[in-house]
Amino acid sequence: MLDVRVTLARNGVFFAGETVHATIALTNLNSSAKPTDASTTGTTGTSTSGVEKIAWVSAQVTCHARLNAAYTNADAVANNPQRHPHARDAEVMTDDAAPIAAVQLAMKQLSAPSTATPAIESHHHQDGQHHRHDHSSHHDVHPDAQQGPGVQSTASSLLSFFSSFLPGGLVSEPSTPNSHPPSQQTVSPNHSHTAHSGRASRHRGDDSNGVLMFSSPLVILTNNTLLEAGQAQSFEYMAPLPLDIPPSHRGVSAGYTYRINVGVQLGNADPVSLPVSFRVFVIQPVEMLTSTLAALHLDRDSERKRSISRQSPLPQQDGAKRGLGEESRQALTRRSFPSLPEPAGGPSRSELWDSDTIFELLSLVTANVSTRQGASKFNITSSIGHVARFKLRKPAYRLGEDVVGTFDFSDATIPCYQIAIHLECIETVGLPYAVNPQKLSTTRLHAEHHEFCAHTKQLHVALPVPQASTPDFDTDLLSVKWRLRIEFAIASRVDQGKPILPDCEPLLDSNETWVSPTQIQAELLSMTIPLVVIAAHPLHVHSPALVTAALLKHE
Amino acid sequence: MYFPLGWPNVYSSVFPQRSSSKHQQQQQQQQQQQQPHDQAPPSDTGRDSTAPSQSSHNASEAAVAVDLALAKDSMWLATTTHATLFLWSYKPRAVVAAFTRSSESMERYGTSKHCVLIFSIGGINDKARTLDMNLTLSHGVTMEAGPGESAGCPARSLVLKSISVVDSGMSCIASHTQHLIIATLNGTLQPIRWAGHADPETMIDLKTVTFTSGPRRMPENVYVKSIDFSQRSKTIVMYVCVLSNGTAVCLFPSPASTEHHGCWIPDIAQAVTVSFNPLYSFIALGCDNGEVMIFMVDEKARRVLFSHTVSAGPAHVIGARRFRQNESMLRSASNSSLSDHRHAQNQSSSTHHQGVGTNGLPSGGDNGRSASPIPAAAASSTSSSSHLPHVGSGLGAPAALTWTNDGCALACGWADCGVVAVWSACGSPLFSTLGLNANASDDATVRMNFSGIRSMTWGPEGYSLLIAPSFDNDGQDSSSNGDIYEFAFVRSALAANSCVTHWSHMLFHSDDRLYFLPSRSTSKHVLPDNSDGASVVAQWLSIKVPLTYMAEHWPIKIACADESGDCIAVAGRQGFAQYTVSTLKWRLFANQNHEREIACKALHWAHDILVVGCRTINQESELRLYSKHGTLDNSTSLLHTEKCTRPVLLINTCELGLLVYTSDRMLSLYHIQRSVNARTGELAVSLSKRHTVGLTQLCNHPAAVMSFMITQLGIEADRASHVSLLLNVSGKLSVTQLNIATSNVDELLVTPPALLATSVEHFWTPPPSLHKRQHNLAKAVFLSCGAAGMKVWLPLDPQAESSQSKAAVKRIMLSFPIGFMPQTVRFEDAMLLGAAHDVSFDSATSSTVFPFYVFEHRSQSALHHILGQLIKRGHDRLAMEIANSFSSLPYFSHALELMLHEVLEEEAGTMTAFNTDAMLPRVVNFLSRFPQFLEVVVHCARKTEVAMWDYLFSIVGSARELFQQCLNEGRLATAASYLIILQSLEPPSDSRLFATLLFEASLDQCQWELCKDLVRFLGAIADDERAESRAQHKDVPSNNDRAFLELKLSRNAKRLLRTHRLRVLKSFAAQLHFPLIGWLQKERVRAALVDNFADALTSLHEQYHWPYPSAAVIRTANNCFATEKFASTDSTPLPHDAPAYAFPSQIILDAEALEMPGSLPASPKARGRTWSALSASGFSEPQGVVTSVHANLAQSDEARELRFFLSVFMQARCFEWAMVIAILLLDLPTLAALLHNHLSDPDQQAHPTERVRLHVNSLISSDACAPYRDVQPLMKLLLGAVEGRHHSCYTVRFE
Repeated sequence: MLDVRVTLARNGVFFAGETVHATIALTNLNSSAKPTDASTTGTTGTSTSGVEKIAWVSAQVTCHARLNAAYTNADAVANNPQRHPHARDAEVMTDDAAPIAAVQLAMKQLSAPSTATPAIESHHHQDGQHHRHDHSSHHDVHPDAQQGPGVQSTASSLLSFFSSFLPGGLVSEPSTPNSHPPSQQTVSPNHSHTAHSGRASRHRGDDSNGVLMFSSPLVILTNNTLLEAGQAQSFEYMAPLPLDIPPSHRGVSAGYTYRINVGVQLGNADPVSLPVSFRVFVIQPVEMLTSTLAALHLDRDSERKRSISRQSPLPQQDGAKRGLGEESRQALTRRSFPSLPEPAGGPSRSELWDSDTIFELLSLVTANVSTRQGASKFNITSSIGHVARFKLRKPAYRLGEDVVGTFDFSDATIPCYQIAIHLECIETVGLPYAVNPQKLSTTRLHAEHHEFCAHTKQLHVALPVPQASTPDFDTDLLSVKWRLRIEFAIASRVDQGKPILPDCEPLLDSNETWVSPTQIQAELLSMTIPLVVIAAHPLHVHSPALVTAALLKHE
Repeated sequence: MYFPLGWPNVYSSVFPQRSSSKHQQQQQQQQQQQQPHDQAPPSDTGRDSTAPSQSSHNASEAAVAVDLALAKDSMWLATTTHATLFLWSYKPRAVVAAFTRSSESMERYGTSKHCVLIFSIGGINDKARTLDMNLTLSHGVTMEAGPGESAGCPARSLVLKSISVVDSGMSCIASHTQHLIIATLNGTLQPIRWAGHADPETMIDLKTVTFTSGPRRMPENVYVKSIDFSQRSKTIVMYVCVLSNGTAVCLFPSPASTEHHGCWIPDIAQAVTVSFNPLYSFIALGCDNGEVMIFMVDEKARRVLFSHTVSAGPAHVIGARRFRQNESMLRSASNSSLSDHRHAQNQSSSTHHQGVGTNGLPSGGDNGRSASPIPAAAASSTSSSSHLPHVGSGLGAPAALTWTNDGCALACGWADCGVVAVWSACGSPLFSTLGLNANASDDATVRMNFSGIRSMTWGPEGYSLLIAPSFDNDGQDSSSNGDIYEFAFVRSALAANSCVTHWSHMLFHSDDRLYFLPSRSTSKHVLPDNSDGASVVAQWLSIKVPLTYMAEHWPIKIACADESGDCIAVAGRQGFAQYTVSTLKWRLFANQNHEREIACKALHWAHDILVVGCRTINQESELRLYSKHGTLDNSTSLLHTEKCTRPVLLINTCELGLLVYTSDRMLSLYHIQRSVNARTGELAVSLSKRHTVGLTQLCNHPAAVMSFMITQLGIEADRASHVSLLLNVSGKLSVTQLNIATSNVDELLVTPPALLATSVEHFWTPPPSLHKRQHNLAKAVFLSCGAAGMKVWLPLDPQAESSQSKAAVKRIMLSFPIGFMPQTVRFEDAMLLGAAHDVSFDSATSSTVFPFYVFEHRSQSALHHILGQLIKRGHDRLAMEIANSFSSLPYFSHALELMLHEVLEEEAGTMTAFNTDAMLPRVVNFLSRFPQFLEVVVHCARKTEVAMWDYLFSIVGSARELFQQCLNEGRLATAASYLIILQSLEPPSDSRLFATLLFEASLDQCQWELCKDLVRFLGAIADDERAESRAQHKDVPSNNDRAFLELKLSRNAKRLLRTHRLRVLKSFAAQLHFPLIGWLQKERVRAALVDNFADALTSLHEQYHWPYPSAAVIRTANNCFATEKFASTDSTPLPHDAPAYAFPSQIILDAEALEMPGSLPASPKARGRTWSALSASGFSEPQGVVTSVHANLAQSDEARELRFFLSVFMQARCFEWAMVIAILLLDLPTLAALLHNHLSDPDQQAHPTERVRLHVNSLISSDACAPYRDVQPLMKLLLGAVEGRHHSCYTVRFE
């Protein structure tokens, strides 16, 4: 019995441009054989001693666009030539594939396998019980002679495995296991667009996946490894993410999901896929970031400040009629995916950021956008008078923060009876991909506040931006924008003048009891205020499942 | 526990437009009081009635809110202005009725304090609604109801029921479910029935009260100016009264007779207001010096003991300040005369405040003040202090003092300076507005803030603090006068559910939101003491409870997260909701009727089962067990229902099962039986009651039990049938042994309860997982005791506890201060986690000047406190055991440092090394057993003032010795820290000596960063000396030190070169900016000579991991440099007198190039220059040769570095070294050139050929270098040179 455990680093949250990092741990849960048995294992065979033969372990990062057929035309998405920049088709990299590209691969394992390559460093597990096993006998178990067929079967089973697994992926179907040479040419990708669209449409019905938007090269972490009873082995898997990928998003009309697909085949059993979801944040727009980054490197202090002040995205704006500085908003959310020019190995793709840079950038951007002095102030006025003043604490918020504002009714001329504040995000499908051009946008409510406020002078509201939601982003397929929608129930023109409060001046004649009116006539006044929501520090984001585990059994 | 959040809301009963009207000057009086309707006497026709308090007011403004009160059921809020009583519906917040008094009423009753107006809250019918909003022109859009607003505003009116006249005049008033208690000016307490008639039989005359101690009788002419009471099932068992002379008493009315007993509250003479906390039996007395003193009352023994003092202020000093007692006694003497004077003044004074006793339970209100206004002394001090208040005193008298309903927090508002402060029950400061004004200096700020507090009350469940403030009224801004301020509060889930203490996450909630910090965040990302982790402190997860639940069942009453921190159950007024953190999903009852049929009183998770103690719609008490999974529906997820005879108050789980405490003061232990249906996989659960422990003897009233736990702590191993019951009753934590083997109730209690500590707010027992791992804190109990800090109840010998010897079971109670309110204890690393309030000022954005309140989590290590306390009590061995078990913690040495620091701070200045009581020697002795000792001492020293060093080093040993010890042990970084201390302690000459020693050692150990620092340090010393000597007109050669340093560096370089350590030499030169080439040029015939080629070669092979020529390499080399082609002399010779080649004019020799060997050759420019220079002088590009020879190494960093050295040596004309490297690289062309140059070098003093011969011989004779013997061209070349075959040049042709 093999326990497979995939653990994500960094809270399971990564930024575009960073390297995804996961640990895959395999533990043979079989009870270890007695020492006497173990000594005979090497010569007699493996079946009785609880040794598990792992045919291969693979890992790959994928991003799928999940499309709601009611809103988004999957064929249009699949046929879009711009989809391909990152929808690399599966390349199987076996351990003798020479360049492992940017994927670094380290392996910690108990017994040094004879197949170790320079790229794989092997370490000995320092666990007490493991030392009972004789390593030399271990080597006897899989002599070099077995390697050839082993690799062959690996490749073939991988083929069948991944062809069912990647929607737009592998084209050549394996005929028989032995007919394929065990090299990566066997599974080299087919870049034909027509083939893709055909596949994509075929797989559209398969709700588990969607359209492949990005995939990293498939990496074989190990093959033909024997794991003795009680032994454990773990692999570090790292894959770089390009800068111009879409963020993780769970939308109504469409969404993007990222996964590390860990595949394991135990012996001759069916391969098992262990998908681990992770979140991807993007800092948009890329242009702004790269310039900020340049400024960062140029001069760590003065230049940075200047670049920030130059790009102040949200000028202070009074009045609710217009949105927050439209131009600067554009600058902040300019399209960056996938409309960037696509020369192979463009600068943004090859440039990988380390985490420190990302964090520094993030704090810069958030400091820039989120905590700037000067709140947004709005005077809310109806056609018959002044209703309230509304002040937002700041114009931009990080995920998980509260959108904070106050309503001040103290100098109102029209009483406001009730107030409703909705924190919404609007998801818009790009026109070329929409099923119904009349229905491009959907609105999703994330938080709301309702309060009766007839006798309220100042009202403080705080609406949390859920940590699970998506910050502002804009791609060709999909864009998400945040806003506050506020509704005021104000005194109706018909009703105006009737007091809903007693006059406080004492009457001279008699004690008087005042009772509030049974009915008040009101009318609705509504407004929207655009907000900016940006990513949070990954360690601030609570992400649920960092570990995915599976138990594989021999059949 | 309770923290403010955000900005306050402001409510006004005055519509803005109308607020500006001035009112005529008229003396008015009005009274209001309100009665909780659920406890209204049945005789009352109206469901509610209001009753008076009173004030007389010189009203310059009509609409000033002077008082407010909240009905006990939280449905109604009453506020008054001078002539009008407003009745507010609490949710939705709106004025539904108002009563304005006529001028006739004002004239007749208004000017005196002799009457009580009682109102009833009447309605046509209960279902009638008012302020029903009709949205016109909204196209069918409706507004949703907010939290708690689904039922709308009930329509009610205020009916004046009766006016009772009190002839003698009233001083203050309090309300009770049965009646009102009126304190009269002639010294009586007079109950008045809600119906309006007095009840003379139950009247208490203060003169008749007998006191058991102190003066037997009351002094003459005193009356009660502030009153509160303790009630038990509708009867009052104790009054707490502040008397007009500033003393305070407890009165115990005896219903049968007129002989009432009383006891004096000790040592109090300037009290003005009182509030009673029934949960802890605490009496809070506000004193006119601004402090609040807390007394603990034992109602049975009729005894009052001082507990602690709290005062406002951000720089609050934690800890009960008992020493103040003496001070207060001194003051009381002077005050007693003052108070008479004050009293006389009252009669003419017309400045008054009004207080309203909140009904039912704690009654605050400074009613006495209306008769006895601002004390002269206090008034003079507060007038100046209101703008610049300082801690403790000068705030004037508190106007309002009120405990939360759950007794967990006390709020105080001061009448004359507008400060509001909140403390936990046992005195931890939670919130204070004091000091905020100091930051904002402009006038607008000052004006906008309150100038005083008139009245204050906690909102339902303590989620808000409602304040009726007063303002500095200059007549210009009267619009704010009617305002009621509401500060929103969050509270810890522990407040309502105090049993959930052994989980490591933190849960807070406001009225409709949860703030959750999962244990994962607390463990991973929170580092102690804000060291490096400050930037990634985890954020609260802010979770809004869905409006669909909140609209009807607002507010949250209880919340509880399960052990894993993934499921949170929340209960409002009815039903409950469940949230899963990992999936972000809420589970609500599918059927709303199921939700409405229960009202949760207690919630607890037992693994995957939610245990709900509830009251059903039929008024039955039940324990319900709900499954964690599936839809929430009584048909599927309700696993088990257990009827209880009495309401369930608290639930806890222990290893034995489920502990349920019911209002009959019985604690029941249930066993949970689970079984899984094999076929359907459904979980079946049943409960069986195992034991019942009666707590009647241990607590006075049911609500006094705050938390309990059954553990194995303190039980010997052989008594498996015995368990310990830890029980917190009114803050008194006691331990009792139970024999759970017996079924006989009488035998259950083995030992009488032993009191462990008082003023305990919470206690934490170790999680069961810790018991299995022999953890040193696995048997510790942590107690949080408010102002008394944190306590740890620790077994003295963890081993003995589980051994057979009975006598060994001993425990010790340690206590230490903590700067915040702990919420949870992480036993595995002795970390205390909690929260504290903070402010964020951005007045530019806020509409009020109130800062934006936030609350943040805090953490602190308990380790150093525990160790310090143990050492203090002489338990060094245990301290050592504990320390050793925590030594793997990342902040372990930091904890040791903190321990030393604290002792040092405490004792420096008061102790000397010879004092036998001194702790420091013992702590030092303890620390000296740890390898971190030297670091700990020096880090501690560097963080303390220089004045303390004498004391510190008198005990740890002289800094010189420690420095020397560091040097001897090779701990140079630590030694450097000591150097800084020595610099202050010793004369400059000595510190230079030490610095030099250290410099040499760090050169030896190749610690270049330290060397750099020391170069600077020595330079600084030299500068100082120079400046000093110049001041003394002495002439000191200025570059003495520089030369000295250079000598040192050069000596080190020599040493390195002698020992062939080129790699080290490289980083040395790079890091210390050592002019390597220049130095080599100087030393080319001295230190830069190679003594032995073979040794140098082997050493370099080792350093660079450079392989000896393998067979393949030898083959290649032999082919490549075919002898006949190689040795020819026919190509263009170079002139003998000229240097063989022009060396690169400049080699980048800066730190960067050297430190990153890749960067120099990788930069094409540098490489190009170097090698083009060589090729220009007659060589072909030799890289090809090397590449072909050492193919796989040519591009390595090592090769680059060697090439770099080759060029350096060539440039410095250190040919011997260059040759060694050329040999190593098998760069024969270069070698040939070098030989040529070397042998023809005019500067050579020694015979060059002889030297080369020696070298070649050594090379040939060396075993290690044997492979080189097979490289024929090399040998040929070398031997040729030795034999004097002076080839002018060698050319190389490539195949």
